[in-house]
Amino acid sequence: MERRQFIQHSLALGSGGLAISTMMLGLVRLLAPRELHASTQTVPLPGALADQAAFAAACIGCGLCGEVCPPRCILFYRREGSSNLNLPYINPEEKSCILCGKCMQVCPTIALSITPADKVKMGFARIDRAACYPWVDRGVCGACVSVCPLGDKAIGFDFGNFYRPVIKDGCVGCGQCVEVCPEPSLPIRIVQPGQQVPRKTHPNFPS
Amino acid sequence: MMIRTILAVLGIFCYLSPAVAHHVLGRPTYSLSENTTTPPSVQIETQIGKYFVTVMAFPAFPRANEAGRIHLYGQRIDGKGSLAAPITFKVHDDNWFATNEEMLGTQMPLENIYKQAFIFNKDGDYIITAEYNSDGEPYTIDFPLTIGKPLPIGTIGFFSSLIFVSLISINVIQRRRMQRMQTQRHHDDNGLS
Amino acid sequence: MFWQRHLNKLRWVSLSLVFAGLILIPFLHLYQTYEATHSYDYLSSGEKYIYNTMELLTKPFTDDPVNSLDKIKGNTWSGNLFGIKISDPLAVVGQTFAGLTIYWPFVLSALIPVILTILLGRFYCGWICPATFLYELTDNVGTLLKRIGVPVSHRRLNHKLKYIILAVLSLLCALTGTMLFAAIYPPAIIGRELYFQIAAQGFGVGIIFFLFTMVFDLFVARRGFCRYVCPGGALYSLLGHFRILRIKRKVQACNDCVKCTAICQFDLDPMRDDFGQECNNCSACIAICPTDALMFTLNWKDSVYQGPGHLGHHYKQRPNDGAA
Repeated sequence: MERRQFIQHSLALGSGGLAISTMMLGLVRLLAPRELHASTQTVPLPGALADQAAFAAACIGCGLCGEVCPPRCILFYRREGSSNLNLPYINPEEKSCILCGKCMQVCPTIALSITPADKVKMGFARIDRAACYPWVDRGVCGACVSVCPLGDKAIGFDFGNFYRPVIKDGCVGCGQCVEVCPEPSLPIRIVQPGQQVPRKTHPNFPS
Repeated sequence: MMIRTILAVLGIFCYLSPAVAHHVLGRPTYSLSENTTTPPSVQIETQIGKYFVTVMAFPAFPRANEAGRIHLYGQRIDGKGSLAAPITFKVHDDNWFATNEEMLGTQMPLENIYKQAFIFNKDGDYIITAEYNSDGEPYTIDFPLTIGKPLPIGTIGFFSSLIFVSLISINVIQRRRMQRMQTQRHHDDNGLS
Repeated sequence: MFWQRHLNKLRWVSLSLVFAGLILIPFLHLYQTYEATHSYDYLSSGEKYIYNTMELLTKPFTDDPVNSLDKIKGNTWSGNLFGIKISDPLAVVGQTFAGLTIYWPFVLSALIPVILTILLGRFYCGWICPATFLYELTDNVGTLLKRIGVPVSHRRLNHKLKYIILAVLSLLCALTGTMLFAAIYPPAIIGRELYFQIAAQGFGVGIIFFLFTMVFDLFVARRGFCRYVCPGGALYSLLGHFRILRIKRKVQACNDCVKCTAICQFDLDPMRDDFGQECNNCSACIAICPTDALMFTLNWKDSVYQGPGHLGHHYKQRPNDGAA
């Protein structure tokens, strides 16, 4: 009788624990759908673990990286992102990383490790030549080239034409060119290795 | 037990309801240039399915009780023609618990441009939804529209701070009385006389 | 000991300071970013007000706010205090399970809280946790609501539930490879969401979840989340099982008035020497005791029930005992 009661008791407790904990997670998951802003760029932080799953396992969601970021470019998944909830990202369209490295120093876990500015791998900038002003001969610009923190290693002008920007191998994907670009359809995007370049055709210049 | 039923139903609900996926377009850009014939507007461009859709709202900073209009035009990506199906415009508040979806109207294109007028009587953040069917596929485009100057902290922030402030003030004002009531509550909770 | 009855006030000061700090740090960060970009002239009037207030607050302490304010960063989940990284032990447990590897610098950052918890027990829950601050206020309001007829409820569940939830969630962390605790652990939620609201994009999911737990506390079980659900509370209780700082009842001074048992929000029974690992050393019972019979002592075991208090009528009316 004693033993039977014990088993019943622990079964009830166990199922109660399972029910409550999964219910809490379900509630949080329900409030954070996978995708809220479809076309928001989400670029990983500088020095982040290359594998997204490893990053999600390492990050504890404390928000310290955001709290030290001088340009406040680090955003968080807060009502979206499903299992990425509370993880940080950068949207260079709004505010871009200045490669100061404070987030890497402050991160308590291995999610962000200290990396020199030119070794950071946040992605790679791609210019949509169908929309960039100089590339379609709509004027002179060069804003992206003049703002690049890595200078000649990462971005330069096309040979023979002074204002057509070309991305070079040294690009780390900080996104300052994306932020500064004056063209409203944002022809520069930060893409991840292996990611398809999103085909974004300007309506005035159908391919 | 009532409470267990509620918990169970809630749990099942959490599991079964699919994650609601919005399709909100990218950041709005403002074209305010005075040297063109177009009046200042807020402009949103995106690519959805086979279409490249541009939405413009006039004026650029709409205010409550002031008439405004939405222009929408869609081009096929392959350049073969424009969007021609009827589009239904709807509007709802931009927060979680918005249930007050309202029809704005169904429009046909006039020279490839869909025009929809609106007038809001309250400042706030709204989501305009444009729905159409093309090649048998349903398309839904959501885009944000800010009317006037809504509360900077948002609805949730407003209610949370309200709760927080009332908690603290009630506790400070009723400090003595609450201390006295604790004993009474203990008696009630434990079925003592 | 008479001074111990004022510890509860000290505790409220501590809780308020922590909460105020969680609000202040994001504002300081805003000030830092304004200062770093020399953008005072471009700020809106509200932002200028923040700038001026923060400048007033930090002027006496630092001439170089951009760099020196980095010394105090973070929240109660993980923080950076004057170069020392301090993390919640629950964060370490969750991250270790999620990553299935041990990263020592991170584990060591939880060392200070772990040692303090082993010595002082569940003190974090009573003295620091920003959620406790709100939960206690909610519970007091619940008392008031009950008086005006709102059906607040006080169900008793099994307090072992939280240990099972801790185990289940750790297991799920390992299975899914994500830090699930961060999404549902109230102190982590509050620190993070306050930052989100003040300096980032605005409140997120966490605040809604936290409001749910407040409703749970009011209408299901009194202080129920801390006592029955909170995985952090479970971890602290386990760590503090053999704590050396305990509240003791001096039976000679006790008059069996039951005020201590009535005030205890964790539903413990100080009057019958029943504390256990659940007690968070909040000292509310010490503060309310009219005869100063309860006090903090250094002892690694609770005493067994010492019988009725010597000043109470149960003791005085005992037939075969000459005490009076």
